[in-house]
Amino acid sequence: MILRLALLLAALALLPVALLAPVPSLSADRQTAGGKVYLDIHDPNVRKLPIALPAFFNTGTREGAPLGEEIAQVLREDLKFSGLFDVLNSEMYLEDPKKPALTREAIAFDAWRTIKADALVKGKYQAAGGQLETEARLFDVLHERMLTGKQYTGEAKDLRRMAHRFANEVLRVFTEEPGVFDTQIAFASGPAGQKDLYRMDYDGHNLRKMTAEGTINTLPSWAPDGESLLFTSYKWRNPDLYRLSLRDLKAREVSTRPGMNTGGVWSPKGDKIALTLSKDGDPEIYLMAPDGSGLQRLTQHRGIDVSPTWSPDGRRIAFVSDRTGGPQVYLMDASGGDVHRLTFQGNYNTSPAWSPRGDRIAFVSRVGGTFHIFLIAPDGNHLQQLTTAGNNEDPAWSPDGRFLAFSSSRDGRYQIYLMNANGANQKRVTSLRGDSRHPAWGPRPKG
Amino acid sequence: MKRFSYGWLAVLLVLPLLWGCAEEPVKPDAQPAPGTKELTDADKMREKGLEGERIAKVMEEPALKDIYFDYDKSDIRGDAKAVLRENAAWLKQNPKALIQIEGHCDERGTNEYNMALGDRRARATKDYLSRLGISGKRIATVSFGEEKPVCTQQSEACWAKNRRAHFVQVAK
Repeated sequence: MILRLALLLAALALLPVALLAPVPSLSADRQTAGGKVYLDIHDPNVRKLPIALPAFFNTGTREGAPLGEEIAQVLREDLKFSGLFDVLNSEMYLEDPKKPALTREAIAFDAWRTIKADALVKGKYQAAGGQLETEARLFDVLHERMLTGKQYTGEAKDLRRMAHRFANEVLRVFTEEPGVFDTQIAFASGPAGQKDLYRMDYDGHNLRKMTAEGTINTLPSWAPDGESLLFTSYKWRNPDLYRLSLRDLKAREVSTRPGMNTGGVWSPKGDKIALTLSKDGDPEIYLMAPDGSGLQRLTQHRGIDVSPTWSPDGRRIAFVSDRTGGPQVYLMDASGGDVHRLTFQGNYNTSPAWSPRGDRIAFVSRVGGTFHIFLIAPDGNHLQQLTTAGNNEDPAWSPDGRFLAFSSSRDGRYQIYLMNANGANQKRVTSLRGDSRHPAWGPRPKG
Repeated sequence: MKRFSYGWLAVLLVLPLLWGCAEEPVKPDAQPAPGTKELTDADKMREKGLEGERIAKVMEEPALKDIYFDYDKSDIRGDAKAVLRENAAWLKQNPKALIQIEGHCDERGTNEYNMALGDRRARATKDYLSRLGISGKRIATVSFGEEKPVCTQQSEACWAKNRRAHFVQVAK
């Protein structure tokens, strides 16, 4: 029995992040929350929930680096960026920070009510020998109840990931859908004439370069399973489509037909790739199998047809065509039928990106001399401008449809920015020397 | 009998040359008789047509001048036609030269749309050279969209320089 327990503990310790959670039932959460804290991101008048996140307590025997503040800070940034919370300034906190009050009984809820916190995250950690254990709990301050609690075990380098995972959990409690704070964003960056693919945590941390061939590698797009990226490379002086495995960072050819092989995007189910080919003399949208075979032409128009994006149900495709003059966004069904124009305002509308929620399409529109991110509903209603500063391009949705990544030149060179789907909380997450373009937001990690 | 066969031989030797001239004004076929020399890579490429071949070597050729385009357009402008006539003359004088036409755009606008625009510019340039008698088999095209600007300031003067078709000599 003791042996079995030891084996179980050993197995859990091997997992990068193991969940051993004393989680209260979801139905209890809902009753406790009482409707007050259910938050709709599309409601512009949503009341932000005041939440306090003091530094996590160090319960280890050894005095290590002060990780408690670091963990809390990751959580604060995540929840602030969600647009759903008013993260209360830690200088306001009245409860004695030295007292490790982590339980419902020990917490001085009066001290949190005084500063008008409705929710409270408390946690502790223990670091030893490169290992890190954290425990985080979310409390409803008004009702003095714990809403959820999680323990994470992993390596010291998993600190940010553990905090992101608990931020996901906080969003799940309040919105019934977990956050996407443990996702990654891929993008292309480099000086003029050269681009490489990078990936990073959604918030810009853990930046890693994935290619280094001295050519132009660009237009990344994630496979639905998150294990590879499609991208376009000029390795052979032609824009060819490759697939980069994230396991070994090896690139394999997918489509190397003469002319453009660009903008490859997987269907939501992962069974097809939509892309632009100009092999027949002008750029047209095609479908093909993930290995590049079984070509099916969808558009039949002498002129430019580019930038396909799938509806989340995989039944429709939005794309860009200049069939009426300047570029405009069009919709068609996934077999090329039922084509109709979506955008009518302005004479330059490009880069459509269909929200995973299905109800909005983000795109780029030229307004005066500058480019901005807009949203529009698939029926042509609800046109909304999201950016106002500098040039803004390449919109890409987060997998939950709450956020958009995009590139902007508002601070000089193009860098990657994030914002809420309503345009709030715009922030820069890269500071590379070259232009950084074409963010692609990865799917939720498995498990 | 002897005389007769010599006559036939003369006809056989001359015919392919005439044939070559008629079909392909710029065909560089001052070559040894077939079978006496292995075809070079460049020759194989010419037989198949250059489009779609993998290009390993690129050489800048100062004699081939860039042409420029209007914003969001791929029409060959009047000033560009004069340049293309000069480029065509060079290609006729250098019949073995294989080239790739790069289509470029200025930085304004969306990358993938600009790739399409650059694709169209390169093809329009190739078509014009073909009409001037240069075999399409000697010409590959590629669009770099806005990825390879020659000028990186944000001004109309700079953008105008980037909206170009550039010519390079290539080998497989």
